[in-house]
Amino acid sequence: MDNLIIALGWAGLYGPMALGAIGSIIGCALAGQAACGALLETETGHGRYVGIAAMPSSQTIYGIVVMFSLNREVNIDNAPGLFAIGILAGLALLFSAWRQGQCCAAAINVSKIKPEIFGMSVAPAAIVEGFAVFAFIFALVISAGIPA
Amino acid sequence: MSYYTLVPALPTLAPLARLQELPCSTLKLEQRLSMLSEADREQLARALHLCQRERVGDEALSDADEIALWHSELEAISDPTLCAVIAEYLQSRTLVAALRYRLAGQQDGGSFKGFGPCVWLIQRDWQQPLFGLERRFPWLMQAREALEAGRSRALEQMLLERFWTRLWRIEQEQVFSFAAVAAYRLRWALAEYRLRWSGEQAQEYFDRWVGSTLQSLDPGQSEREWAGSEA
Repeated sequence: MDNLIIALGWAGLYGPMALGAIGSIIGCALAGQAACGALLETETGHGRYVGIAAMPSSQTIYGIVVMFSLNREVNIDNAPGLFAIGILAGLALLFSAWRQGQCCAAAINVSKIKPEIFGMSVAPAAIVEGFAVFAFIFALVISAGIPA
Repeated sequence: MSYYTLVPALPTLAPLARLQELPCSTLKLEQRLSMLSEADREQLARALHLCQRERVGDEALSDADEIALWHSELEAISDPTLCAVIAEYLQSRTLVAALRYRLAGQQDGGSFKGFGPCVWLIQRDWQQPLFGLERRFPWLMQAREALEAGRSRALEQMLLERFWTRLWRIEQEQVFSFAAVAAYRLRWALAEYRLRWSGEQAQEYFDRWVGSTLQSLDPGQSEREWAGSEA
């Protein structure tokens, strides 16, 4: 039983990074596909399409930072805390990156039709990013309470 | 299946009322649609066939054959959204066909063949001005007025606009889905059809054709004669 708890602690330690990266992979792939489609149909503004497609990559960075803040010697006392914070923060980052990718794809699709609304169309993706930032910040705050 | 690359690669179609030309050739569009999976391409081909207004070679089909064809083709379309929108469209064509038959003098609705759950109501309430369906289909009143006034083109335009709007909504609601791609392709087909109208000439041809068909109609012939008009 102790070994299982220790294993879960390690999963919590690496979880934010791994889950954040999975979310970024999905999000960037969705937005990137949309950007590729828009390149076929537009003559200008290609840079911004590719740029917006990279937006969901920030969740991986947040995951790395949370992982470092949780990083400590895993023992039976701190493993449950590491697991809970790490996995929940990771899931939040995964879903935010995934959904942000869909928002970015939608933004690319509509700004291809009406380039003047590009800035406005990115707003939903920025809002989703805000929730990822909340998950990230409060994971850092809570992690201070986990025994070393 | 989602089409995140294909949907942004589709050229923007102007609103039907302001449509002057297609944004690119149909050949170029078909090249882009080659990103569709084989199964989705087949579904799209069936959808296009069902919604095609000018079909060559099917003129001799009776109403019953045409309806059977609609059913078999629709059953082969697995996407529920696409299936629903096409069924709605075919139902609207059934309603207009019923109005035309009655205007042509058909006295009994018993032999009327059509598509959708309202056919038995049409048959039962044949003598009512709008088959008792005016609440369910408010546009029927406009359609009947247009037919009675001989404004076939206005009716056609109204039906096109209704279908166009419905398809556009699907594109907005299910952005990167197959249904969105299919709705776009169907809008493209409508745009092509609309652009083929050459103003007065088309009006004259259509009025002449409808007039001659109406004159030649008798209840016994009606099924065969009208299959082509609503096909």
